[in-house]
Amino acid sequence: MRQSNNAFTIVELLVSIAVLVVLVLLVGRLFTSAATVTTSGNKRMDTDAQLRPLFDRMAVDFSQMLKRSDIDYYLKSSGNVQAGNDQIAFYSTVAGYFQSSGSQSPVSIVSYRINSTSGTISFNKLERMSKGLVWNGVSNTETPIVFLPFTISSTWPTATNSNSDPDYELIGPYVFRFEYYYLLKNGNLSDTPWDTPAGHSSVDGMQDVAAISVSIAAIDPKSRVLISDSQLTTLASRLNDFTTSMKPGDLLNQWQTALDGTTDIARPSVSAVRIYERYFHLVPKS
Amino acid sequence: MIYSLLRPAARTRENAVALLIVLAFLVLLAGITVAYISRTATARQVAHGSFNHAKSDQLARSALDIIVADFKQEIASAGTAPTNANIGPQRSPKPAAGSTPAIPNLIRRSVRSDSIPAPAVSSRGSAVNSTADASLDGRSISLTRWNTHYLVPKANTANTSSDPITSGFSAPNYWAPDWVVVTRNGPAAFNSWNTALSDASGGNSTFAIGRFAYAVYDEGGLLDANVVGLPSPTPSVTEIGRKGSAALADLTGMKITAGGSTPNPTTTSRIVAWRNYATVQSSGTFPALAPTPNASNFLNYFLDTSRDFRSVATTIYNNRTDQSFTNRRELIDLFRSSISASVNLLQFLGTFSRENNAPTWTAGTAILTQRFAIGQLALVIPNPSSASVADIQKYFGLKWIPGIPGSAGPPPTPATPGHWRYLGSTGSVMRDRIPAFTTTPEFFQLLNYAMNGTNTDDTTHIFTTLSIGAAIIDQYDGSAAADPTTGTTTTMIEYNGGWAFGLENSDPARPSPSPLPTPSPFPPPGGMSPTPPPAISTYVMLDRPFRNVGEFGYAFRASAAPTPTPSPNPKTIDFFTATSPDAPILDLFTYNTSNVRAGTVNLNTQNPAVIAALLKGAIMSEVSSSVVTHAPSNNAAASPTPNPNIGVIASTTSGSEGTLIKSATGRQDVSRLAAAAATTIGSSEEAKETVARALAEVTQTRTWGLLIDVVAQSGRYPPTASTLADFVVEGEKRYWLHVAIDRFTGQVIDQQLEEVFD
Repeated sequence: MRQSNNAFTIVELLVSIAVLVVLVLLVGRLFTSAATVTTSGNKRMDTDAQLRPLFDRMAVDFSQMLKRSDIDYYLKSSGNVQAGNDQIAFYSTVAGYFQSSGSQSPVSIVSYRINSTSGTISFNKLERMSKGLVWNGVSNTETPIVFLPFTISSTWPTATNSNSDPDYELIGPYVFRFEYYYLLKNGNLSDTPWDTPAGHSSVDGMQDVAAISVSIAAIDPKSRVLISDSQLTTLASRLNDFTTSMKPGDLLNQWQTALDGTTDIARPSVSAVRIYERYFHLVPKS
Repeated sequence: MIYSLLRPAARTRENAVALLIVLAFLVLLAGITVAYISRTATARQVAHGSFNHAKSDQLARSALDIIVADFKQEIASAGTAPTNANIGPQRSPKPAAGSTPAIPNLIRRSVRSDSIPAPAVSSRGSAVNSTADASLDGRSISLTRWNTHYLVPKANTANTSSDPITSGFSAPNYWAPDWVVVTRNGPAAFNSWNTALSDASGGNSTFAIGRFAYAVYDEGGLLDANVVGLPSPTPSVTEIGRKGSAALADLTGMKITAGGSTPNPTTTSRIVAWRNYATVQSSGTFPALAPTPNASNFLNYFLDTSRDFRSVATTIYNNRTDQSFTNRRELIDLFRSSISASVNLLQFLGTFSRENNAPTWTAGTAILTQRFAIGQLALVIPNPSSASVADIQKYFGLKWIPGIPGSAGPPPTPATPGHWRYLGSTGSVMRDRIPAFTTTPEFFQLLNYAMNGTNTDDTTHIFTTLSIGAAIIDQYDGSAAADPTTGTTTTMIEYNGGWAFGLENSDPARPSPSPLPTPSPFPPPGGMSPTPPPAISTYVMLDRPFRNVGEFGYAFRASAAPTPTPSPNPKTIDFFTATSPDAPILDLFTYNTSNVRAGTVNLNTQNPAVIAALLKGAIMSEVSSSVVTHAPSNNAAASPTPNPNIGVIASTTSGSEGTLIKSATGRQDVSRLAAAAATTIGSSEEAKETVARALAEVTQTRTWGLLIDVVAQSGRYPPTASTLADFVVEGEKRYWLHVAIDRFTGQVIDQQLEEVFD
């Protein structure tokens, strides 16, 4: 009987195993890197995909905003300072939700806010209200667009506060910070929508506003599950409000610095937060 | 080595396992890769769609900037001293002299081989039509879609679609705009295919990045839907007839179809009740809203001289405010709602009108930036309060001199009536001339400037100017406005060199010869000096505030110094002959005092129905209160055959400058247009001047009110393209830009951008 002499020496086996381990490690690293890249890419795409329609929606709402000196706007200003998340409400000729049995006019009341009521399904999420309004005189109970001296806050309070309204839709489920400010026609950035040095003291149909700049902080769905509501609230509170002394880019820099300096919240969650800014240029008022 | 030691069967199994493992890995990797690529591709497509949307939006806005810049360039090229030939924007196609254009509202559109007259800028249209030449992906814009604003007359007037007429234009393009191709270098005209349009290589500046097409309409020549419309029950005949606001236009005077149908007054009233809900205290529910029967609310609102109608009233009623058509889409939507107004009316209605309320007529070196407010005449009351003394001198150059009672003597002294002394707007010395001015003349300086064309020191016309001014004051003030010393109601003005007198038919200080002779209240030997001029039985006295500058035409026009001797047929200010020297008065005075206002109509409108609405209901005779009815108002606007050249519209045909047919450069041309109306309204001077009374206050020429309808498409010509139509559309955007441009300064007074969703 022939004795086999084809066995491996222990050295050969060790070398083979070592080479295999190295190869496995390399391939594993490669896969990990690839997974990290794709995961990161996916997260970014998730967030981008979420923000794109939101910004498009805002662009339509802002471009069809009624700009008249005889209507009211609910805007942040020196007389209406909004700490933390902002809220904005205005009339726009976009189609709105219309639950009435009467005749719908082409005008809607549009509002954006971060839901601040804990315990609700939309808490810490961006909501948009687009309430379709009836033609004037349709009924005594349904209100059409009203002009000054009526204000939006007195006519549609939910457009200007945190109370619930069935016409709010969840438009940014992973947007937890919403801030806006104004690019005035004099070239300055401002937290007040009028040109004070020019002697103006009211919004007057947005006559002094060239663009509204919207800054948003959002987190992707996968990372969102890693962070609690209260942590998100805390994180949002660390992202500064815009002040008139800021220069272009300052706000986002401060936000990024605040995020980078956050150590009491899981790092993967914080690093998944993405911040965006977009200018919506307004057409002149009529 | 290991492999070779395995048994064949084992080797086969191991081969299979290895293959399976490798294949599994490959499938896994391929799956991951495909999923990732698919995800990114989807995201890219979505992003690309968003990008194309933004790109077409930028393209559309750039197109609007280019079009507006072209209009401003046209103004700059024509100069800021307009002539009849260039007071308005050039029209393309250019209408024939004395004719009405096929599409009255259409000023121009983008068109190939554009032959629009100078100084207009060519549209840069290429030889590819937006309607007839479908793109490579089959997209075109139908005429019906081009007419979703309803500014072109409908072909089928029986339904509510926006199908437009095509008469007057050739198939297959009809009046549809051609595309303007936008290259990397900007818009450029191409009469045939150019391969560089599809060459995307870096250095090629001719590569096409998009295209746009546009049409421009004369929104300024339309009635502003935010102002016009009479409630039902209507105000009194005399209130409507005195006009003074476009709100008093009678829409039932309009022929809104070729068949001559007219708007339903009930529907108009409902719209007014919807729009001015709080002001007219509407009742009922939409659409059957009804204004309060008391029309005074309506009149008080629209005859408020300080209201500019650019914003709604702050009045609240029923916890509601007034409304406003915030854009054209809202107007169309309301018409098509259950209120069921005729969409055929939409071609005559706009939602955006602006006027810089400043004169256009000029002479000498005067620089006038605003018109004189007629309402200031209310200041000139005998024995004025001390509070108004300064204003009276500022605005009229007058100072009140109290009367002195006479005595029988001996020696007898005549009574001196309380009267005015002409000092000019500054100083305390009685003037022997109408002083020179440059910027802010007082009333008599302005009258003298208008009638005599001079703003220098004028000693020649001081008597006639003061007399005419006094007659105007007497027409404006009531019969109770009398000198407390002598009771005379006649305005008397003393100047350095004599006296000038107004004219009152009823003056208790004057002996009345008829019908019952009464003695002079100031008998000899003292008497009164000076005495009022004799009355004229046929002289029409208004004795009320003017509603419009055309009513100056009732004022007696003294012709020579020193003693006025009215004839039995008094000569009054002339607003009815084509070459009247008084015509500039129409342009220099205003009832409404707003600097920029809405609601006025471009006098050069080519819509007969618009002029007819403004004329209908105007008072032809103050004594009988007879008014212009439907047929005369339409005949005056555009006379039917056999007199095609008679009528307001035919006489303002653009670009056909002759003696009588030419665009109006200002409200002074209303006098020429009254002459053009001939005897369609009546044969008396008062009847002919109805045109001046109805139109002067509510028309203008200096502001171009344009609606620019632009469709922009982002996209490209693929490498395989071989014709200008082979464009691949990637994004599309449509806007209506309402813009008001001051013809004299080239400045955009106001604008409103309306995004259109078809």
